[in-house]
Order: sequence, then structure tokens, then C-alpha cells
Amino acid sequence: MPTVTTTGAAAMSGVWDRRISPVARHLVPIAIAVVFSGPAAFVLWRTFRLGALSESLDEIIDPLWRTIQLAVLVSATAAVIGTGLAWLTTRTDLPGRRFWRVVLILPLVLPSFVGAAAFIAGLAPGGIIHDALESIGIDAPRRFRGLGAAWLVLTAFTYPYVLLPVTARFANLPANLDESARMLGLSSTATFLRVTLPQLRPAILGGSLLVFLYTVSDFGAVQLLGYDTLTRVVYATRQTNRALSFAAASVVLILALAVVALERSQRGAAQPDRRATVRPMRPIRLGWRAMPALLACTVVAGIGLVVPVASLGTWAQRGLAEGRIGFGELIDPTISTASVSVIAAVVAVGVVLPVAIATTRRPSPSSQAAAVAVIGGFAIPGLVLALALAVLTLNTPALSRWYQTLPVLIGAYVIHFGSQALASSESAVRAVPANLRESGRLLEPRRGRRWFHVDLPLMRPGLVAGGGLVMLATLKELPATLLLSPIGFSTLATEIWASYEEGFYAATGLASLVLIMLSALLTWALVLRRSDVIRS
Amino acid sequence: MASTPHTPQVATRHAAEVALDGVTVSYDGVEAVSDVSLVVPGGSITALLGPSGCGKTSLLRAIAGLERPTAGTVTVGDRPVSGPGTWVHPERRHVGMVFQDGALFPHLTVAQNVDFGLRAAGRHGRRLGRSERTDRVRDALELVDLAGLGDRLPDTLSGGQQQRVALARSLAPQPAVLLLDEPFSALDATLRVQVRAEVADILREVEVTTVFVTHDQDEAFVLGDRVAVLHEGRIEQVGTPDDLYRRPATPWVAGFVGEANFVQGLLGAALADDGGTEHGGDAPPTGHAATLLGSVPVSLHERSDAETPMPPEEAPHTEIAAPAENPTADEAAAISVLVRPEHVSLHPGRCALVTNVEYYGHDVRYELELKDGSTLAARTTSSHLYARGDRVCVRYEGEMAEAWPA
Repeated sequence: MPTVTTTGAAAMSGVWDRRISPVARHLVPIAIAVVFSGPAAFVLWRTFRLGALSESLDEIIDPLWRTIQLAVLVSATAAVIGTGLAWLTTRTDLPGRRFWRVVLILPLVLPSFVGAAAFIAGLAPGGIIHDALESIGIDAPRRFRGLGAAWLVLTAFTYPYVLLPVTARFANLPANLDESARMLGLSSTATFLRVTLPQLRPAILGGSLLVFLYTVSDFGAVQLLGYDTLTRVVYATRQTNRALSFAAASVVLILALAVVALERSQRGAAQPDRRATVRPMRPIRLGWRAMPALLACTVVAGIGLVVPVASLGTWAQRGLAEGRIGFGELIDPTISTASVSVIAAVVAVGVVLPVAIATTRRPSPSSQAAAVAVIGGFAIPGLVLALALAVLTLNTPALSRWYQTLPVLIGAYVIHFGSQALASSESAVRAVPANLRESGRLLEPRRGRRWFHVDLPLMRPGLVAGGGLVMLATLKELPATLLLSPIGFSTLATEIWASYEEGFYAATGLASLVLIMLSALLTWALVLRRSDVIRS
Repeated sequence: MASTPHTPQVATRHAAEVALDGVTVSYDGVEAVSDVSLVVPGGSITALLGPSGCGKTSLLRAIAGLERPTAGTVTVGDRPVSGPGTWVHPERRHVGMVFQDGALFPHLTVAQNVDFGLRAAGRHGRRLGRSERTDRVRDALELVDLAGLGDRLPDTLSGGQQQRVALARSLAPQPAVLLLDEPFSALDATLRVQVRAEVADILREVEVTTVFVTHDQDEAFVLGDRVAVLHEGRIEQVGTPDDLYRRPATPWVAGFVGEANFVQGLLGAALADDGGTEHGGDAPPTGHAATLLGSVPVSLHERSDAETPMPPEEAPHTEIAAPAENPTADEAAAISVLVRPEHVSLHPGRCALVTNVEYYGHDVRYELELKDGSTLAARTTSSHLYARGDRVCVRYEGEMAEAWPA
């Protein structure tokens, strides 16, 4: 076994790190922890102060039940679809495996509220689904609302959260585990159930919990699809009944934190990745089953990608042809979207890097607290975070001039998505091992030069990847942007939202397509191009 | 080999013979194994030895049923398991296999791993009861000397322990044949020797027919009763380790199983047919060859297969011109004589220059430059140490040497 010595965190802290004063060493992580956990703490404190929870329990219990119902349905369905597709595209001789491996991940580039809008617009008179159904003599459903609709839409755009980790797990599962089971007398089906599935379980569970979190936190899709979940209560009552709004926000928050805590503990229990085997697995012959398998892939890709894009595309194309919309109107929102995303990415990496350095090189209670707070930021549903920051700035006299300003908006993005940069930043820091820094120190006494010539070049890929993930998430963010944007500041997401509310589907379509293109480009650069997803 | 049924205290096993006949394995049209026939006697330990890419692992996997040969038949015991119109799935062959990295199921404890094959239904026509399985697991873990570790997870064990668990796991269902795929190559050097010795003890104790794959000549010789040397998908030679080392069938085998000098020589006029030259005989003709090491008794092989390349890189190749004092050139034939370094003795004199000295303690390896500029490796246990730059004389001191037409 090629022994790669993983240098322990303790061993990585070189002697000179101790020169940093204890105050700075602890103060920075603690400050970061306070900022990241502040909004959540505020929501809970405020709810407690208002005595809101007991007061509005009756009004919360139904939405809570609906939220959980939807989240369970969506995550269970996504688990089955994601695992099945991962198996089809990695372990079988499915025709066009590489093509499917890419295409089946792409629904990820559609934010769920865009997907919901695309389905609603498609089913409206003049929409592509409506017309297609008419042409074969079926009346399109009048309303596309409620549990069923939310279940379909959210599943269609979130199953890749299961597909990706399970595909990765399949890829580095040693083939000889399966072979061992066969040699010990198990049939291929029994081998899958007793050996393969237990190996996949952490990946499936982790992915499903992410889907659960996504569904619980989702605001845009359920809002558009008229399914009353907790986030919808938070949004609807945020100005009229603040106690109810905060109570609902607290419940979503606690639910989300619990899910993230569970997901984290799962991740800890996950098997360490073994090196992939030299001998690739012989693909399983599908035979006649290739046809239903292809059909399943086509349906999933159709619902998650082709139909929504086509629906948005026809509306946009019609609007362009009739001259009612133009790309000119989208220049400003596109620039705004791109700039806030880039700024959020840079700030997030800048804030998270010290945490990453602290956790990997000198772990301490304060650095751990900061890491937990950063990860916790991901758990806070965007709407809850936005509500907290809006109310906090609006109602605190000292902060009121920050209400609906860009710094607070960027701050919300950083708190919400900083965790996406944390993992990459930690691996970036690990890319500069102690012995390298020590030899750098022996050769170059100037700290600054070492930083620029040794640390930064080695960290760059990790930092760029982390920043890219933050950018991607920021592009697609809706509720924080909606609540915290300065007056007159519009991004692609708010543009889509506003035009949809006006029933101006053509504008919705065009802005959505631009957003999808941007996010597809970024996804390509970040995920698909680098990972083993495409290569077999 | 002891093929008589014997009852070790751990468990009884039936040692089945494995027969391969004309087996060919191809990947996407490329033949990894070409037309290999081999019989592994019941209860013996046979090594498949060869450099990487020689097809040895493919051959092993064909016995296991993890690869389907494109031609030929495989028989385990008296049961054909692979052949035209015959295919027995791997799980039904009663064959155990230990993989390079153990391939323990990481989600199961050590005991559950060992139990795994016992739970498979219908293995021997009947299901084992729970208590019987517990006993078998305990016995198997005792066999590999890991009795106390049943509750541990594989990740908490050392590499050597994992390999022993893998061995226990594959032996527990009492397979007819045990296959080992480079079982020690994932271990580091010192551990490898130790685990190898332990495994050798266990295999001899249970007397299971064993086929193992290795690229390491030491491993093949130490562990194997018989060794089959594979080269480019074909078997070059099958024999005991001693056969292979002392009577290699081809120069390639000679070079692969140990360090070899190939010394050029002239077959003397007295090409004595004293060994019985008659073509039907097994023994090749023998005679004496004149070389720079003096007169060497040789046993002359047919010209080796033209497509067989000369031995691996590490063997210094000596080109020694015929000594001038032997003028019977018209009758003499140029041959290449295999001289193992330990058959070279050094004497005071000025015929060769010591160019390198490697001191190993139990012996010393010298590299020498002969008069004509060719190099020669010598190993000697003599207490007299020469130094780099010394001048010495060399002489052949060994039994009958193998030789091939140059």
C-alpha cells in the first residue's frame, strides 16, 4: 500500500506560527463566529423575547407539517432517482453513458424558483406544455399548484445532490469488494444489496439530507406553486405579523440546523475513501433493459432540463420576436448579478481563509467555533437570514442607515455561502504542508515573499474553486436579494421574480435563460470540467 | 505433494486439482493469456510468476471465474467450470480468493467479514447453523492468530492483520482451491517477509490447493512448491524453484529468476556426446566450452525461441571473444553460457579489474571488467575482500552450466 502520510493538524503548526499573539489568534476566529452566528441568534432571541412561539403555535403547526411532508417526499424520491441514475451511468453499459453523466447533472443549474416559473408558464395558455397537450387532445391542467407540483419541481431540480456524491462513491468503490463477495458465494443481486449498498449509504444519506435542507429552506418554488410551507408563512407575515413571522422563521431555522447537524455527523461516519482499484469494473450488461433505462434518463432530463428550458425559451423567443423585450434591459441586472457574485466570492474567501488556516494549522476551541458558525451559516434558510438582517438593520437605530444597502446584501451572501468556500479553502491550506513552509522559511526569510511565492500559488486552485462555488450560489439566490437589495437595484433573480409576478412570462423567460447560461458556465468550469464525473 | 486426506485441527478441506487446457483470455481483442495449459496438483502451492503485464493475474481471474476465457477449459477437481458451453459463476466454484489489498468489507467487523462466506446459502448443499458458523469463524481467526480481534473494524487493523483476515475469510468456507493475487505486495518490505512466512505456515497446515500470483521471484521461490513462469501471456517453464534456477529452459527465465551472466564461449571440439545426444533423449547434449573463465561444462539447449527477448536489464551481458589459445575455430560453435554470479570464484592474478564492490555481510558482490572490456558479476563468501581497482583472476566453479547457441 503506498503509504501517504497525512500530516496531522498538530504537526502542521510550525514553530513560527506561535509568534502570532494569542489575542489575534483567538480574536479573529471569535469575531468571525459572532458575525456568522449573529443572524440566527437574533432570530431565536427575538422570537423568545416576543414570546412568539407559544402564541403562534396553532398557526405554525400546519405549515410545519406540510414542510416536513414535502421535504420527506422530495428527499426520498431524490434518493431513489439519484442512486438509480448513478448506478446506471457508472456500473452498466447504458448507451451514451458519458452524455448522460453530464446531462443528468445539469438540472442543478436551474434554481428551483426558475424551474417552478418555467412549469407554470409552460402550462399557461400559449406555453409549450399547454400547446403540446392541446395538440394531442388533452386539456392542460388549469392550475399547477400544491403538494404534487412542489414535489415534482423540487425533486426534478434537487436529485443531482444525491446523484453527484453517489456517482463519486461508485467511482472509488474498489471493484474487488464486489468480486470478493462473489468469490464468497453471493449472487450479483445479493452482492449489490449486502456489499455495494452499505458502501453507498453514507453518500445517499448525505445527499438526501442536503435535498431535505434545500426543500425546507426553499422559498421561491413553494411561493410560486402556492404550497404553504413555513417559509411562505415567514414571507407573507413579515410585515403584518412579526411575531408569527419570527416564530415560523425560528422553526425553519431549528429544523435546518438539525438537518445540517445530522448531515455533518453522517459525513463523519462515512468510510474514508479508498483508492480506486487499478482494474476497472466490467460494466453490467443491461440487454433489453437498456430501453427502459434510456427512457428513465430521458424523462428525468426532460423534466429537469429540456422542458423548463424549452418553456422559457419559447416565451422569450416570442417576446423578442414581438419586440416586447430585448437584451438591452438585461444588461444592468446581468452586470449587477455578476458584480455582487464576484464581490461576495472574494469577500467570502477572504473571511473564510483565516478560519481554514486556523482549523487546519492550529486547531483550538475558538477556531472550531468559527468553523461551526461558518457551516451553520449554510443551514440558515436564505429567507430567515434575510429577515434577520432586514429587521436588525431597520429596527436598530445605529444600524438603520445600512438597511437595504449593498454591504449588508453582500454580508448576507457571505454568511449564507461562506461554508461553500470553507471546504475548498481547507484543502487549499493543506496543499501547503508544513515541511514545504519550513523549507521555504529556510530559503527565504521575508514572510511576505514566502506568502506570495509559496503559499498563494499552491493555495490558488482551492481558493478559486471555493470562490467559484460562492459565486454560483449567489447568482441563483432569491430571497436575500429580494429583501435586502437597495431600492432600484435589480439582479437577474429579482428581475425574474418581478416579471413573473406581473405575469410577463416573456421577460421571465429571457432573464431566466441568461441566468441559466451564466450558472451553467460556472458549473461547467467548477464541477464538470474538473471532476471524474465525465471521465469513466 | 501430500494429497492424502489429512485432518488438520482447524478444519478439513478437500484439495482439488486445477487443470487449465489451452486457456486464452482477451481484453478487447488483445490476448492477455495465450493458449496456456497447466495442471496444479491437489494440495500443492503453485506460483504464477512473471513481470507485470505478463497475464498472470488474468490467468488467476480465469480460474476464479472473474474473467471468462475466450478459449480453453478450466477444471476444478473433476468439474469443468469454464469451457465451450460451460460456465460456472464465480460464487459457485468453491474457490476462495485473497486480493492484493485484502478487499475486506469496511462496513463489517472482522468476525462478520469471516462469517460472510459462511452465510451464503447452499454453498455445500446445506446452510450452516448459527453456532456452527460462530465456531468456524473462531477457528478461522485462531488459524491466522487473530483470535481476539473479531469485533474490530478492518480500518483499525494493520496491513498485515488485514491480509490475514482476508486469508481467514477465504479459508472459512473451506474452498476447494485458494487463489492469492499478489497478496503481499501492498505490505511494506519488512512486514512482507513476516506475513509471507505466516501465510506459508497456514497454507501448509490446511493443505489447500493454492495458486498465487507474484512478480517477486523470492516470494515465488519461498512460498511455491512449483512455479510457473509466465512471459507475454505464455508459460515459459513450470518446475520446482530449484529446476527454474539451475535448469532454466530459456535465457529469459534464467535472467528473470536470478542474476545471470551470459558468457560467450566456444564449444570445444570435444563436443562430447557423453550425455546421450540421441535426439529422442530428454537431456540436451553436453560438452565443454572454452571461455574467459576457463573451461566450463555445458549442457547445450536448442536455439531458444526467436521471439523471446534476452533476459531483463539487470543481467550484465558478457561478450567474450574466443580465447586465442584455442585454435579449433572451424569445428567450434559460438555459444552463450549461463554463469550465476556465485559460480564465479576470484583468485589472485591480473586478468580482470574490480570495478564495483557491494558488501552484503553474508556475501560480497563484485562487478568485474574482463580483459576484453566485458563485465561480469561475481558473488563470493570468501573472507578475502577485494577493493575497487584491484586486479583478480576469475574462474568458473560450478556444476553443469546451461548454454544456448549464441
